[in-house]
Amino acid sequence: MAGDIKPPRNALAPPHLARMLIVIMASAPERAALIGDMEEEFTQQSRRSPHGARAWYWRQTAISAPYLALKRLRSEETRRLGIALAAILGAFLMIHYWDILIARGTARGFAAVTQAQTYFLARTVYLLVQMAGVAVAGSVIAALTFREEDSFARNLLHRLVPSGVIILSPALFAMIFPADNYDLSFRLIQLGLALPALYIGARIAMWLRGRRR
Amino acid sequence: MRKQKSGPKNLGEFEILVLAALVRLGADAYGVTIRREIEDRTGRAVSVGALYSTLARLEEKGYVGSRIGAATAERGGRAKRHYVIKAEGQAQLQRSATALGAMLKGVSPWPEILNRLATL
Repeated sequence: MAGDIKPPRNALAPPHLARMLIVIMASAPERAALIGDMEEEFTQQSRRSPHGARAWYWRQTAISAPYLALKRLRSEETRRLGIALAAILGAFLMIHYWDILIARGTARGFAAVTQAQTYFLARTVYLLVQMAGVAVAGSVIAALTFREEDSFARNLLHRLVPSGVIILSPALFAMIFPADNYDLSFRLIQLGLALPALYIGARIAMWLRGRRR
Repeated sequence: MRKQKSGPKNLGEFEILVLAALVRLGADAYGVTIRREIEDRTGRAVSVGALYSTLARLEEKGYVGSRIGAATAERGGRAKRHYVIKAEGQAQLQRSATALGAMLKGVSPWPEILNRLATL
């Protein structure tokens, strides 16, 4: 097993910063072998010249960086993270701007058509559409970030909850510092519905993943 | 492991060098030996990053396979990753070398790549 064999205590270690850069840039499948190769060559070179070995390690890090970074950027892992971040940002913007642009427009539109007090109806429509969007964001986040080896509860806690906090931060902020027509009760309803919406979205994504297998 | 959707394309120069090194090294092919083999034979400096990016690409194309080997103290306790050329890789290497030879037949002076290939 990797990690069972420890290097001798007095062995000269590669430059810490350079090794850290390689760890960050290398993709997961090759990371351990790549670092092991560099360490092997470093150890062999350090027997002849410790300074030369350090210089070699730094030079390898510098010339390998563009290849590793490019590969990392093109990897499936990065693509999935990018889509998940886009979903988080999209849901965040939806909650943030919905109040200002769409909710007021919806209220005016309903009022114009029905000539009646439609504020309640507009709010309801607004909340329903918003929660549908949050559920979609939840399912996208779950589909892209949930790990199969982890339990649903662990995935929920480690992946969905942090994303949910970002998504719902505009509503939380508006609740603490009210600057619009919506009162505290409305914000509580909004938050109270958003959490189950995220959860339902994640459940749907996991159900779809299970069906595909 | 994904394979190419379209028909096989000719290999790039570095891909040819890597595959040829795998043929030469056989069971002893892993990052350090592949890098040394190419450097010793071509005189070209090879970065670890470029090598592993190419190996990963060749593996994705289905030309190369890999397995995890033994860990040593010299490697900080990390395991080696041994690479082996597959039948598809050997066929592709043959095709690319033939195509290259056909294109360069009668061309003088021969580009650097042929000199490198001739030394393999």
